[in-house]
Amino acid sequence: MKQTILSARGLCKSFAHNGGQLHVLSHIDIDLYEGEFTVIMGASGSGKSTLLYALSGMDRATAGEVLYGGRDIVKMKEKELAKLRHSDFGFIFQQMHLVSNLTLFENVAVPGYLDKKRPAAKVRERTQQLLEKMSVSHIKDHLPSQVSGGEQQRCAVARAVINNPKALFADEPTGALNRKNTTDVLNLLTELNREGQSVLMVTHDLRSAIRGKRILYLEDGKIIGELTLPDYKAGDEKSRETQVNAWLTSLEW
Amino acid sequence: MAYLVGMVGGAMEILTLLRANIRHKKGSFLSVALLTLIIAASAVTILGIKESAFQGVYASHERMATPDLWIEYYAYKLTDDMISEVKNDKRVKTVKVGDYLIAGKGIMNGNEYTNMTMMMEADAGTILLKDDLSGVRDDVPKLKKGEIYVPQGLLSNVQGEVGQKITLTTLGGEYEFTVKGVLFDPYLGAAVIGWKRYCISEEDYKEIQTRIAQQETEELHGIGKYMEIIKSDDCPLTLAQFRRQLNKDTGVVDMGVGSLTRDMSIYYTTLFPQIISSILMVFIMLLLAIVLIVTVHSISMEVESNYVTFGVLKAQGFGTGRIRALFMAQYLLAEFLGAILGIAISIPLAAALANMFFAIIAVPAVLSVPFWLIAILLAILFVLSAVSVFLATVKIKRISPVRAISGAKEEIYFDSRLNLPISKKMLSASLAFRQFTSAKRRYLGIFAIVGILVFFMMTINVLSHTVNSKSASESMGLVATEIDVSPKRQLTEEDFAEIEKEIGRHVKIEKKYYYTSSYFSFEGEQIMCQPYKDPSVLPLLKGRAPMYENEIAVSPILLDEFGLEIGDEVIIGWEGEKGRYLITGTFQLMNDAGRCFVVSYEGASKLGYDQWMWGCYSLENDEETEEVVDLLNQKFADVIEARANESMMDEAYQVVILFMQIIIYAFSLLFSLIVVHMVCAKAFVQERMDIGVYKAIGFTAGKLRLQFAVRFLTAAAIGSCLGAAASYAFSARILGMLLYGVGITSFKTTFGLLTFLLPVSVVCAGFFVFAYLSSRKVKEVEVRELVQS
Repeated sequence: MKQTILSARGLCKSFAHNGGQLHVLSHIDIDLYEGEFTVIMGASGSGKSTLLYALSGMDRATAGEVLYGGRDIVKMKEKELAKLRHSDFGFIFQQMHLVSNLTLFENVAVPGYLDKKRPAAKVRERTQQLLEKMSVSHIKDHLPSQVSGGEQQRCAVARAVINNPKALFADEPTGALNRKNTTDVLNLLTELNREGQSVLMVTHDLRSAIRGKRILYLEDGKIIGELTLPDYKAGDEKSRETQVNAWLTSLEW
Repeated sequence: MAYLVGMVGGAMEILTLLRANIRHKKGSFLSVALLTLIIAASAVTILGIKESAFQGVYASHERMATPDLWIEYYAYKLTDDMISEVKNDKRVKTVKVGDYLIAGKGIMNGNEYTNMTMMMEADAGTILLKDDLSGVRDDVPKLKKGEIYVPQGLLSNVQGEVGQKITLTTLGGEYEFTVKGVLFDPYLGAAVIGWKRYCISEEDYKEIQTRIAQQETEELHGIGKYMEIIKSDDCPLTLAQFRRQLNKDTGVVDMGVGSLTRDMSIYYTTLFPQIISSILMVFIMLLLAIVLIVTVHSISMEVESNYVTFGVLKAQGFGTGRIRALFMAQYLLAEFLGAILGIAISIPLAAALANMFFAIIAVPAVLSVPFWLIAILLAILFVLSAVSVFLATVKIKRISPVRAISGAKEEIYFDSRLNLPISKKMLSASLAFRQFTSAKRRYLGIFAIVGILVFFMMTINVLSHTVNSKSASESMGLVATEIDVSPKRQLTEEDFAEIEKEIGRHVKIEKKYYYTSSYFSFEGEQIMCQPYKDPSVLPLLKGRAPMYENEIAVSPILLDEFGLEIGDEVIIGWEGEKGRYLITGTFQLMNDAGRCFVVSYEGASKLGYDQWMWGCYSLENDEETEEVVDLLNQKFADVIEARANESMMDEAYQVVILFMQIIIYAFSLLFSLIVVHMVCAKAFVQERMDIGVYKAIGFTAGKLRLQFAVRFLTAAAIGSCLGAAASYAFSARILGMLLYGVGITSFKTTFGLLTFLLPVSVVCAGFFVFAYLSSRKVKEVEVRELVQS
């Protein structure tokens, strides 16, 4: 029996636009399960990033509810949301968004320092472990501007998981990377998922999407399709791509 | 023709972009306009108030047809021969001689006025001021017995007002009068001039005159005469030269108790408005420097933020010159609008405050705005701004369209040696410090701005502290004492010893001064002289104190004026007796705006000088002053009259200095607010993404705002230290220059803890609070907006 860690009901998001309202998300119902790698796909402007931001508490939904641990995060106060972001949720941005005046080590360690119960030494130890895991420990004292995009994104992944989040959100994490770096980052996410990390990733890249167990398809702010795949194994990319491609074609992607 | 069409086309493009820029960057535009408005409004208001005061003084002299030279005498000293001699002098046009009764002391409202004053009968020339200061009254009601008219300068000194009683002490006894009106006396009426003229009724005059006449002896004189001289139209001499030459040929000035030319009267009367406005104008100039720094800072930030936009504009054929012209137009337009509005606001403000110096100058102001001076100042403002914009936009030249469009913008952050590790314990503080050290350039402007504000606030605190502090005043040679003793006869060494012994039984005497004040002839010029029993009590600036009978020490101003040096010999005269004296040193006294000299009492006696010496005592503990004064008055009732000195400074001056302090503090805070708002807004735009990231990883808006404010606090603290150091190094020199006019050539600064803490805490707290408030957007904006913007 799959454990739901996050569920949204009737989720809507609108923006003021030219004096009217632009409805980006329209009454979405979605559940995220513990330990599952979920992928959201959709064309540009379909609302996938908006959905990710709303689910992760980075943005407030206009209507509906997002339940996490029995509480609606839409109604949470700013302080509660901040606590949720540093202790329960991790987020990876497409453009990495590392803090430009902090070293890679500091970028990873700072969210760890926010956990008051955790000693600083433990945070530093965990940071070192993560940087080694992400293969960037040799450049840990560099500033983001001094390393490549792939190294930055690996560091961003480490930052997102420093506090062992219940859910890891990734917004097109490979969108700004080359082929080699894309594979590296996807392998990291896959590895984290295998270790039990729940992942929700937004992408429009087929190669990225096939890493997921469950793929949701978003169109005009509504989920119009869902595909479940077997667990990912190295080497079966081709068959997964064919399967997902066929599914997407059936959805007129 | 084609060139002209091109020019018009170019102007249209700039205009279109200018409109868009102003719409888009309303905050910067309004801030620069507001800063210029404040500067223009305050400069025009200050200049307007000063000019109105000056014009009021000039107009008053004109209306009263005041004499060129005024001399007062003990009646027996002014002989008919002397009058005839002056009348027959070719350089003299008219001479008017009149009588007065000497009042040695006035008590009003519990406050004493101890300068020599003159009671006269009202005559056709007597004019009264209107209560609302709008001008002079048409009528002069005839005074009844017990009624008096006094000038405003007296009321300011004793904090009195019309309707109150004043007690005047004459040789013939004490008389109480009710003040019925304020006398219009531009010549001697100002608060800074010691002599004062009053008008009393004919009946009182005759009665007091009779009583004084009965008491007069060879030593004691209670009736005086004055001579008002107008020089002939064809006399080319200045009034100072006229007085000197006339005295040289006739000795009429030497024989007087004192004299004053109209120029000197105007100089002394307008001295305070001149100094206050000079100090405030220096402050305004520093504010102008701040506006220029803000302009340069703002442009630098804009160029950095709009790197891509300018690259695109360049790619579209927009030249560097046009982009710079756009900045020039934007900032000069903001300043122009600010200046126009500022002037519009300031004229009614100057009119409303025109009589601000009335308590000191004692005549109503005549509203006058020096438009030419304002035009010149504005021209300087625009030229300096244009140069600043020109220099600040140099970097636009270096923007490459290709690099800009491809996003290859220079990194804003750079590695800094000042970086401290990020610590868990002080996470917010260490992150704030990192933000600060990695973008130091952004804060350079703040260092300079805070430095300037703190420098001036501290300097003005030093001024206020010094004029109100006994030790500071004494260190500058300003005699600051708790007990003054006026003699009822010539005091002997035994008397002095007895008095000292009596005071010493209750409280320790820190310093004692025995001296008198009289006008002596100094190289033919009548100059204030203070014969001291022991001249070595005065702190010298250079040389040594007079030790022998033929030695004097002079003020540096007098030394400059007469082109003398220490070691030179000068001719000193008293009532016709003359002698050669050696200058042994310089010292500082504020009497007669620093035009004075000191001689030993023996040295003065050599010329036949025999005025009675006063005693002044500076006490270690002033708590028992009143008690000691009462005891002295009981024990030595026949010999002296003792009184307590309550304040270092008259209230009229204290009020103006306090007003000046308030203006400077208020403006500093206002400027801090606007500058912080501008800098914060720009910093916020530049750091928007980092702030978004911090929010995304779990920082609360409160923590981020605190970090933001802490950075500005750090910058303000560093700027404060720079300003404090500059104030410590330069305050004395600047105040010395500004206060030269009142006789202070060597300003000794004393820095109390408050002198430093008050401005620093005001500015730092202002920066912290305003930065915290300006960062409220952190709270309002969602992470998605911050990161995606």
